[in-house]
Formats: sequence, C-alpha cells, structure tokens
Amino acid sequence: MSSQTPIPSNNLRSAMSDQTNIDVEVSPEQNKYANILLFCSWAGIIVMVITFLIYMAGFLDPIVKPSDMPLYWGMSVHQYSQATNAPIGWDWLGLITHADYLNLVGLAFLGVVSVLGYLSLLVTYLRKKDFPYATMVGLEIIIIVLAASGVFHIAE
Amino acid sequence: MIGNFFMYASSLFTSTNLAVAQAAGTPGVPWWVWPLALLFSTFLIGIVAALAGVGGSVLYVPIVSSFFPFNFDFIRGSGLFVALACSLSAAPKLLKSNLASLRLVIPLAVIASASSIVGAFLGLSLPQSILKILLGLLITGIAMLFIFSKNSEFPKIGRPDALARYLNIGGAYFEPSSGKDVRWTVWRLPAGLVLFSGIGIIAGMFGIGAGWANVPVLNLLLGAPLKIAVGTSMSLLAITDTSAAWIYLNQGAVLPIITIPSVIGIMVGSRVGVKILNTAKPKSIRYIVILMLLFAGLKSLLAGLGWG
Repeated sequence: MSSQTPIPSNNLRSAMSDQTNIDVEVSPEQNKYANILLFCSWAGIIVMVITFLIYMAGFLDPIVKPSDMPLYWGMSVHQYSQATNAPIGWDWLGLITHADYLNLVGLAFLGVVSVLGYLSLLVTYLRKKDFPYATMVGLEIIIIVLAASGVFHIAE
Repeated sequence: MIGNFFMYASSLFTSTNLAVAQAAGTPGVPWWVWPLALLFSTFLIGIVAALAGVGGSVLYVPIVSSFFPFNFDFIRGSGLFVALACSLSAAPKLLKSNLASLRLVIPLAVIASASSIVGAFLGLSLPQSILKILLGLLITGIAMLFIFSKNSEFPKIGRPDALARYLNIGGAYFEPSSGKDVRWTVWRLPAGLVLFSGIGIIAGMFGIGAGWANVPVLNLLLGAPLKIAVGTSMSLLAITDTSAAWIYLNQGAVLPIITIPSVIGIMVGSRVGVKILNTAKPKSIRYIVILMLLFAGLKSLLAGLGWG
C-alpha cells in the first residue's frame, strides 16, 4: 500500500512505472473537450434565459400561459400531458413558435453539449488509434442519442 | 461577519421556505410568486451547496418537493437539469487544471449514464408515494454518509488493477499547498464500475445528481486523491445526468417555469458561494447542510407514508 502524495513512495512509483503516458500537462483532447463544454453550455444558458423572459413576458402566444401554470404543475406528468395535450418525444419541436415550447430549445441544447464534446473526442481517439477509448466514447454517444431519440417510452 | 451573514442567510432560507409552504396551501397566491420564490430559494441553496461542497441538486430535490406545490415528477426532471447545468459550468475549469481526468471519466460515464436511463424509467414508472419513501431513506442515508465518511486527501493504494493499467488511467496535477506536482493513479476499477451502475440508477431515479456518492467511491474505493475525486465527479455528472435528463424531457417531465428559475438561481448562488468560500467556516456549514438533509429526508419519508 502506498499513499498518493506529492513525493511518491517506492510502491506507488513502481505501480506507476506500468503507466508510460502520464503527463502533468493537460492533454490536447481534454483541453478541447473543456472548451466545447464551456462555450456551448454558456450558449445554452443564454438561450434559456432569453426564451424564459419571452415566455414570462407573455410574448409568442404560449399554449399554457405562465399565469395558468398553477392549475397544472401539481399534476403528474401523465395527467399534465393529457390535460394540456403536451407532446411526447420530439413533437415539441413543431410547437416552438409558442413561447412555452421555445423554452425547451435552451434546455435541449444543454443536453446536446456533452455529445458535441464526445464527438470531438471520438475523432481524436480514432486519429490516435486509441481504440479502447474510441469504443467507449462511441458507445456513450450511442447511449445519449438513444436516450434523446425518444425511442424509449413508458407505458401509461 | 461571515458567521453572521451565514446565520442570517440560513434563517432567511428557513423563513422563506416556511412562507412558501404556507403559500402552497393558500389559494389566491399570485402565480408569479412561485417562480420568484423558487429563484430565491435556489439561489440560497446554491450558496449553501457551494460552501458545503455538495452538489446543488441533492439539496434541491428534497427541499423543493417539501415546500413547493409542484409535482414530484417535474421536480426530479428539474433536479437533473440543475445538476447538469452546475456540472457543465464547473467541469471546464476542472478539466483545464487537470483536477479531472477524462481517462477516468469516460469508462465510468458509460456505465453510469446507461444505468441512469434505467433509473429515469424506474422513477417515472413507480408510484410517487414509494418514490418519496425511497427518497426520504436515501436523503437520510446521505446525511449519515456526510456525518460518518472520512474522505482521504491522498489515499493509500496498492498496485493498480489490470483494467486501470490497460486503460492507462492516471495523471498529475499541481498542488499549491505543497508547491509540487501530485502524480496519481487508481486501483479496484472493476469494483468501481459495479458501484457506478448503482449510482447511475439512483441519479436517474431521483434526479439528485450523484456527487455525494461519486466522490466517496472515487476517493475511498478507487483511491483517487480527493481533489481528483471531486473534479472527476463533477465532470462525470455532465454525462451521467444528460442521459437521464433526456428521458425526462422526452416524457414531458420538464416544465420550464420550474426548471429555468432553478437552474439560474443555483448557478448564480453557487458562484456567490464560491466567492465567499475562503472566509466561511466549512465545518459549521456542513452541519447546517446535514440538518437540512435530515429534515428534508424525514419530511419526504413522512409524505411518502401519508403522514406529512
């Protein structure tokens, strides 16, 4: 047993000697991924704030006005869906001319940010022929895309 | 001064929540009071969470479900976006300073995000009374975890396992307190992967993020230094919560009038919290968080049992 201290002990040093590619510097792919998260998440949050202000101001003809929301927000998601004819899956995209559904654009964008970062990682790992990581990154993209696709449904 | 400020903030928080709870049972309260109260409450939650070093959504879900009139489905959906937004705003800095490792995040994220989808479906399928009982037990358990778990800044580890060696997991970061670079690696990765599948299910089921569980597993089981455990956990949430958040969004369980003020309030609050972190007393703040968790956990438990 050894402690992960600033001055590694012999045991840890020998454990680490198996690893030849440990760098103090941040790897370029990690830096690029961080930049994608940074810029895209701020973009998503700004869109979210703007669309929310539009909704609260009563512009763009919301299907459910903010002032009517207290009638619905205590309902379960299934009851809400029936009471307001709320769309399931991606059908809300057809309603983004209404302020309440326009709000979902910023939220959905936050859900895409990680995939954008992972796509950049996939390209890098394939270029570096780091196949274990390329496989895991590819798998993760598939998982998120499947979750986002709406192919999974809950029986009511 | 900071002590006074914190006492003032916590009493303000309590009185706000009591006022909100009273208003919840009062018809005729103007509709705009709710998003405004939510914005203010989540701002305070953000401050407290940052000062205590916990994720905002672990406080958000039990507190909002205890004091606001929103359905539990929508609160859990919002909780995931709260955790996602906090993670997305914190992760870039952590990744750029090497306090989070993508080589550690990626394998854990595959398992945790896949299982968080299962958790999201469980959460949206189970009766709410059962969910509230489970949440109550979980939050009470998390409070106990905060009381009894002793994280280790630089854990002792043995030889890294074959999988960790194969994936070349490890790294180094600059430690300002010693002025040296700390090199680290992990061990017991297969056992960690098993635990992360459970953590993913819980995160998706209750919408509470999972930093409270990620950090002990990364630090105490895998042996990552505490700073790496915290940074990696925060970066991991950006992926884990994304999958579950999509399930909630696709099922219509995300109401912007609840989610957006919550995300903004917590993000602004946690930034304020980080700014006053240097002068605050983390220990007393931690006790307050533990008390808040115990209170919210018991309230959720009683509500689930039909006694609240």
